[in-house]
Amino acid sequence: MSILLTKDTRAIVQGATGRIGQVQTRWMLEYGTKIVAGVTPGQGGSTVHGVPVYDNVAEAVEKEGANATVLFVPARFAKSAVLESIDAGLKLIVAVPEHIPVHDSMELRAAARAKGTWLIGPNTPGIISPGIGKLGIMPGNMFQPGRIGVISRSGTLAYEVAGYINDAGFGESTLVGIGGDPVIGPDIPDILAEFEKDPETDAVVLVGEIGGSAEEEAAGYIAQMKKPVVAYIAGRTAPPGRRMGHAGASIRAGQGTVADKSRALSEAGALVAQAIADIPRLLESKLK
Amino acid sequence: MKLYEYQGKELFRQYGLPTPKGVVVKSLDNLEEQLQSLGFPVVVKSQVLTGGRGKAGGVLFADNVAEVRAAGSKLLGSVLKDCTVDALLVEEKVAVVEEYYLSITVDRASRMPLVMFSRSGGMDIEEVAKTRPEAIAKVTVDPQMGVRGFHCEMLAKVGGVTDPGIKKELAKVVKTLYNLYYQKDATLVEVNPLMLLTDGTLIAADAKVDIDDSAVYRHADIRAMEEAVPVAPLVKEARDTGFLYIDVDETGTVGVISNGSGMIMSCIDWIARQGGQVTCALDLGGGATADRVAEGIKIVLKNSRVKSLLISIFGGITRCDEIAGGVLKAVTENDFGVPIVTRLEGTNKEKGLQILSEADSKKIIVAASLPEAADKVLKAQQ
Repeated sequence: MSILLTKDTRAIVQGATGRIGQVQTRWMLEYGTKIVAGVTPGQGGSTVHGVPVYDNVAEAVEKEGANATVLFVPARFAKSAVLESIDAGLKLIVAVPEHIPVHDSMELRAAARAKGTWLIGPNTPGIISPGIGKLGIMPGNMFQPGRIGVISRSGTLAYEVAGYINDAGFGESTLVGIGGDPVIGPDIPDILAEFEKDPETDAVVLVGEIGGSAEEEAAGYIAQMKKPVVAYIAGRTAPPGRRMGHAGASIRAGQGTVADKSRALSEAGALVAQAIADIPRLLESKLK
Repeated sequence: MKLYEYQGKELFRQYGLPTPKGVVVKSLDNLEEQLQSLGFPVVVKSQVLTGGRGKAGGVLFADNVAEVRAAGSKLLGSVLKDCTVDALLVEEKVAVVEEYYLSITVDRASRMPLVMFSRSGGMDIEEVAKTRPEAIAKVTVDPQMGVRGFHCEMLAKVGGVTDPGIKKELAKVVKTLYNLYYQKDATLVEVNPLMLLTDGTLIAADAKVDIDDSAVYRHADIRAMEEAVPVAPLVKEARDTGFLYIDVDETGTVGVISNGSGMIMSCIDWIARQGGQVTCALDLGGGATADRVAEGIKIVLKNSRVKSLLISIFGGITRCDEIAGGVLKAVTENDFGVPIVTRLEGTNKEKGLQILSEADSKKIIVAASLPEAADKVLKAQQ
């Protein structure tokens, strides 16, 4: 099994007809993802790699039974596109674009929560359940089916971590890129709870970043979990007060440092890896 | 994007939040004429994008034009906490009863707007936050709902405001400020002090406004203000190309180009682990084309502290063949004299490596993993 993205997921691609949307649609299809429609206003009736394109999400839901979406629309149109999918009753929304204004993100998060919709992102590589499908931009061949759940704030780092997990012979049940922005849809405990429930996940790897307090807040939930959690926090040598990317990573007034996060996670019973390469060893110590 | 106090106050007045009468002074020529609309005494405030300005001596008082001139010659062109003072805001002093604190931020814990209010405003608010956190009232606001009357009631109650007239005035200011915060895509609006005057009205004596960089595009007035804010040349050049340039450490010798903040931080961490230090980094974001990658390399290598460059890419939406093409283009078209270590992983990795194999191996060094790349980028400097 897997979480969020399962065998029952029937996804649409919002922005499937764009330059990036077309390429990504092809790669998601090649990976075996059940992509049932594309949506681009004004392009209804066309097709992308054999997938029918509709003018709006409601049509795609009605005609194709869609229940999830992945977005490749420009950031300035993202708010409207996500709201449309929430309104159409989709249960899983993967918002890939970066540079979505934070006020838009705050409203989208609130709207998604009010309707019980999973909003993953914004600024996420997406979600992949190896062997089942992927909604997002991660290269499929970097992942292998397995029993480790992965949660990551960073995109590229998630791929790196999956490589180490695979090399150690584990593989992933599902990898969720929750999004790198200061305001994102999921809280880490939301995803941890799904992995805790999933009978085909044995342990969770949490890949965090400096800044904010999401990892510290997750500690409370980790303390009550039965499954082991291994955590790695990036940004050990980042200078305080400086933004380390487009997204949210920065240390403010001594808060959100690697040390703070590591301490909170260790106290909750998580194993904290000093380097990515240490993750497999820590997993083995709990699972073998 | 941080705004200067005088720019923030322009927004305040536009939304109907009063500020003291003031004039922006950038040169002391014709000072008398510049100040003719003001009454004395006045406050002379350095316009810098940093906190703690008052304590650093950046705010002076004056009773007449001559004293403003004296204060101005002291402050204009001086350096205050690493910021050069290019402008002063000269404002009429007002008769104050109390100094409050009011701010709206994006709360990273609840991921909602957070309004904070305290009757103990002024320069020591950070001390208040540490020693008497209960003196600061905090209310998170559902962004779909916006600020309502009950939020203001809660702020007044916890903040200890009981006078009905002041409560009403406070509610008006909170709603005004929230409108600005929401409509102008601010990530911070802070008024400290928010002054209670003898006539019972509230007036914004200071303004800290930070606008979301991702939203500046939809505000023509903010874009105009951007012109007045000095930006380091390489940061600006990178921004104009759609990249983010980060100055990491002045003592560093390594440049890093990568995609995504997590990967950049990992590179910096690995290089530090191997005993090196990164001086600057460039975030390409997602989906960079060969031409733009070449532009990015040129920007980073304009920093003369960079003695070797690490390009580490994990391709998702970004294609390794585009990156490789960009690296090749950059070294073919320019003579940098700086070795470039490239590590490619992910989408179209093989195509990318194929392209790099055609290049001069002294100029472009290929590494298979991040640890190996960090090692090679430091050895290349020897």
